[in-house]
Amino acid sequence: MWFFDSPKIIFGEDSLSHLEQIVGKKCFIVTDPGIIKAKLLDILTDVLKEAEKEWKIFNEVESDPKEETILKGAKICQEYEPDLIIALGGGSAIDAAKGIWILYERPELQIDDMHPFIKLGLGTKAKMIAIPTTSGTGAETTWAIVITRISDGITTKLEQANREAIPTYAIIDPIFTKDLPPKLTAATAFDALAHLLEGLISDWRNDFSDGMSLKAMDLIRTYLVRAYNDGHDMEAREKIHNAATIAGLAFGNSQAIMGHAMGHVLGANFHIHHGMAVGLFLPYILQYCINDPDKNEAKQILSKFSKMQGIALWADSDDVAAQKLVQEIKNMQEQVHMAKSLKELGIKKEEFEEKLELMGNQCLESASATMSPRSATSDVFMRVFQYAYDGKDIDF
Amino acid sequence: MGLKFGTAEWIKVYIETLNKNKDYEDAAKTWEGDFLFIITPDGNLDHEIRFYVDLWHGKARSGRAVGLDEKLETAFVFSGKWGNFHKLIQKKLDPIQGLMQGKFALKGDMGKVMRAVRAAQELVNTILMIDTEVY
Repeated sequence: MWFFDSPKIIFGEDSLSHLEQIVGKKCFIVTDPGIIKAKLLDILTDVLKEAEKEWKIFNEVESDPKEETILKGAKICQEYEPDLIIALGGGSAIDAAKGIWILYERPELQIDDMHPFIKLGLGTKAKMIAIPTTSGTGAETTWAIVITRISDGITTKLEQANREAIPTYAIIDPIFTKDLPPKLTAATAFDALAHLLEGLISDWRNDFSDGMSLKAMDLIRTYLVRAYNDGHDMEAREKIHNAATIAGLAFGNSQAIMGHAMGHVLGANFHIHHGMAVGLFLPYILQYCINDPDKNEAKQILSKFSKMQGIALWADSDDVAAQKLVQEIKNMQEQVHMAKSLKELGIKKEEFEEKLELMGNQCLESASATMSPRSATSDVFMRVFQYAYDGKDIDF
Repeated sequence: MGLKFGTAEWIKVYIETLNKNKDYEDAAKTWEGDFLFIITPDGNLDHEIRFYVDLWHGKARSGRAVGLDEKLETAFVFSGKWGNFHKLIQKKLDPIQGLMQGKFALKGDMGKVMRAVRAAQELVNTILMIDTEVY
């Protein structure tokens, strides 16, 4: 027995106008200063004005939102008493809004109470609408809430989660992504690519999530370079925006694996953009899973996937087909100028080595670390980090 | 012939095996908290099984069978029907998925457990290392 969860998804050109049809007068908008600067908030408030809705803006969400930010936003939200909570932004704004939504509905709870085993009963005070402005995080579809905690000088990304925290609605309107810079277009798309591929081989994969991975991969391979080279290619923008949400449904219903554990840990320690981190790790963690000496499971899944995508030939062996998929990802990294090693990202060797043991241990605290088809100890995580630092293929 | 699941002999071997499991030691190196496991009758199991394990920094400090009338305060209580435990120790059911499906119940600091999922998996993997006779 398992579940497939999804928000109600409204997608495509002009999908934002559906806001008028959603019941609720008072809107609490959760966003960040960058969204205001880019005038994306104006696009939303124009529609709200047209729909004769009221709104209050909480624009203090930072990249990798801290728990203090969520607590502050929740307090303001509780005072405002909205009917709708609207997240406008990337994964940070959406995750912050999920946390604010939970604390608005259940003010007696703490951040640590946002785990999968609690019945929250959300939706009695407000519905949540997620409007992503980047194409990658998939946060609009998932039950994950990534929150940054700084304690005793150590930064940790808490991977909180509850199936009720999936937004009620996800509005996937490409208008918000047309001015996304190429670098961010690539990084966020690689986040989606990591979602669909990690979800594909996760221990919790299932027939429903597998289908999502297939379609998302097809869209990213077809449209990413177009969207990267010409941001105003609205067909490519729309398809990549859809792909990110579909990839979100894939991993949201199967779970991410060790690449996300490593990405969160790297991000917490070196402030590396999440998409850049998980996109960089993708070939390494796939190689590690393919090289599993005890079972061929991941290799066979990736091989079949590679053949279904037309990357490998049906006559290719599993070894060859899986390796061709890894090579395809590396090629895509080159096409959109993604860093392929931690060294390329500018991380200093001394600082990296100083934090390596801590990072290996932190990976083990990530739920994502447990979903990999090939398990990893803290020593293994440290080795993969080291290989990724130097840009070496995983040979163990 | 294996050891009957949940008996005093089985628990003794489980603790010894857990303390030799390097993967558990690695995954649970910061874990502090004792568990009471409660397995309720179901299928061929006609009696309730209770056992206690004190887990501390990657090792089990102690473990024993617990009587039904014994009052015991532990940081965590993990409970479920035998049929579901049987699936768990056959690795046909993931402990976290089992909790989400309502097949098991867990009392205690859930946030702490969510940061120790790998350790929880190794607790289950350790059972697979023992020649266990089931009900």
